[in-house]
Amino acid sequence: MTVEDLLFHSFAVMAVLSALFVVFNRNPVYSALFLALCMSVLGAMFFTLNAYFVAVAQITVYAGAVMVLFVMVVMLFDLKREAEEILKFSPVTLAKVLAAALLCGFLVGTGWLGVTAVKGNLALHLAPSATAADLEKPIDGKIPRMEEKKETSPDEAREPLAKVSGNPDEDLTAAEEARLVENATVPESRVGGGLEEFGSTVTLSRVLFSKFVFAFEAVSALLLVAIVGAVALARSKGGTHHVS
Amino acid sequence: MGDGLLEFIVNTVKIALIFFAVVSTVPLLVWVERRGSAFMQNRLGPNRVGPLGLLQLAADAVKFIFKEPFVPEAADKALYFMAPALCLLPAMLTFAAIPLSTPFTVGGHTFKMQVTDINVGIVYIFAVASLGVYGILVAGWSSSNKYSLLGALRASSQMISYEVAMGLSIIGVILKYKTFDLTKMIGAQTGPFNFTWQGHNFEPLSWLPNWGIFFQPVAFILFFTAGFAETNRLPFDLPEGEAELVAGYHTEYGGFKFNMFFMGEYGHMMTSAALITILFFGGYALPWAGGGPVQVQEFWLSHSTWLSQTLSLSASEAASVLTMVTHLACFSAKMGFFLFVYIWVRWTLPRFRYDQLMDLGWKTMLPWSLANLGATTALMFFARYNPL
Repeated sequence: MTVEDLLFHSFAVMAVLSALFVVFNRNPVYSALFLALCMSVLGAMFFTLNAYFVAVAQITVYAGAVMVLFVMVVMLFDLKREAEEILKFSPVTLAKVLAAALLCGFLVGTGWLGVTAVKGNLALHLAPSATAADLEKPIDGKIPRMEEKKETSPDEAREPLAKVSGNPDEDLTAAEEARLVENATVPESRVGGGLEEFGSTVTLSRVLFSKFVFAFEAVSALLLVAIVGAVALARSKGGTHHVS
Repeated sequence: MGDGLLEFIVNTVKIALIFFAVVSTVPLLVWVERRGSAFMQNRLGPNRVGPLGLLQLAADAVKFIFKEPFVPEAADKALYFMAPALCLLPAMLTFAAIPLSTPFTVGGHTFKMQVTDINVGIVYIFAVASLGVYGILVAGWSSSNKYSLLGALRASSQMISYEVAMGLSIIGVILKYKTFDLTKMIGAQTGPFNFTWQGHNFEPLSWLPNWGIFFQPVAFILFFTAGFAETNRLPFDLPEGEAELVAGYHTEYGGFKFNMFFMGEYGHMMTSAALITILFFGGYALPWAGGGPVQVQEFWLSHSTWLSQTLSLSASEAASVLTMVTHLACFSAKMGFFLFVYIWVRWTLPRFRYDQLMDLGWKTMLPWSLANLGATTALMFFARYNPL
């Protein structure tokens, strides 16, 4: 067992455990904090894969920005009443439980599809003819081959997924995430000297602004619509302050 | 396997060394702060314990450790004990990416003077620094004290607001150096002041070093100001405004737990002083050494026979060690100056009002940093345009 293996397995266990704690913890503040931990551990996993920029973006966006606001809001509310409310039996509760069950089914389904797709693609793309030399080819304006072979490495495998669905972490539970990453681990022989180049922002932005530029712009438009919608909703209800 | 083991040991030693260097600089800074403030306010300051009052540091440390650990009855125990660590950890982790000096070679092995060389160093520091908010939020909430919670809310909203301006202000700098790598940024600042405009290279003032501040003065002012807000220091220390909030988010903390918050604050201060040095003042590179680190290395190659004879090293290895020491001294001097400026400003300016603080962050600094970004982008575009 190498140091990388050790790091990966400990991070994987931490990610799964913290994800479970998010769901099973009664205290919403703890849930939010565990979610932040889960995001940070996923970021750390990207570090071990030499995808520094993705790692850092993961930590900044999820743990550093989104979850801070979550934690802040949850800490300000007195959520004891809500916790009792959800345990009372009523038609609304039934609808809530049904909706939650549907969402779970959907998540498990998409997760399973994702895992099988990656498995199939791995068999297709990990041809013995591809060597470390392919990874080291210089980038001269056109997209290098390793981007065209989507399953060269886990975060590359995730990139197209991320662009299509907007956010892979929302579609897969942490356990499946870990499995997905594990299934797509790069064989030893394919890790050439190109790793420095591979995780760099230059490579990443070249792919992002050429091959996936439409998906990138589409996702940003979608996010903008969501923000405008959220602001409009908050305003139409008279802001966040209830008048009693 | 031997190399792997060596790497493991070297990295562990480096982590420990840099951690202890940061932690043990804190009491020294406290001493400078107390003596400095006394000097500015025409007092004497601590001058009884030891020479120049330096042993006061030891007395303070002992007091911190042996104080009674008091825990509020209504506190959320697990989070209450975790918060100081959550505050200290990001401050120490950010320092891991700071290049302190040039690498040196001994016995065929090259050692880098930083814990880890990440190619997105600057983004990594921002990412980890943004995690520092959790420590403050958790401390405020878990103490179940209204002053703590209010202090935590003030601190976190302040940090989030100024993070935006801070992040935007350095994009211009990143555009100038065309890299996220802190070492490469230092490399780009060597030599005399020069720039390329439409295919011609200009060197108008050859006595000026090629530092970032001359290209991005607005970014420097914004980054420097936001640095005060990020470290919760005066004039932005509203989270712990004594007159209003007792002591803010760490009201319920005493003894060593308080000390950890304290070290976290000073750690953030040191990281931002180091970042200012690297982004705007040439990092560890000696100013007016035309060729930068290479020239220093060449100088030591011809002046290092005394070291190579006493330690039986080869000439190039001895030169690399001496180059490292020179640059480390240079970096410490620059960083020490900015740490002093932090202390200086603290005892010079009064505290802002909270609405003034938010206005400054969102209505002044954010537009200015956006304008700086726009201007930098336009200038860089025209600089690259070649009419020929």
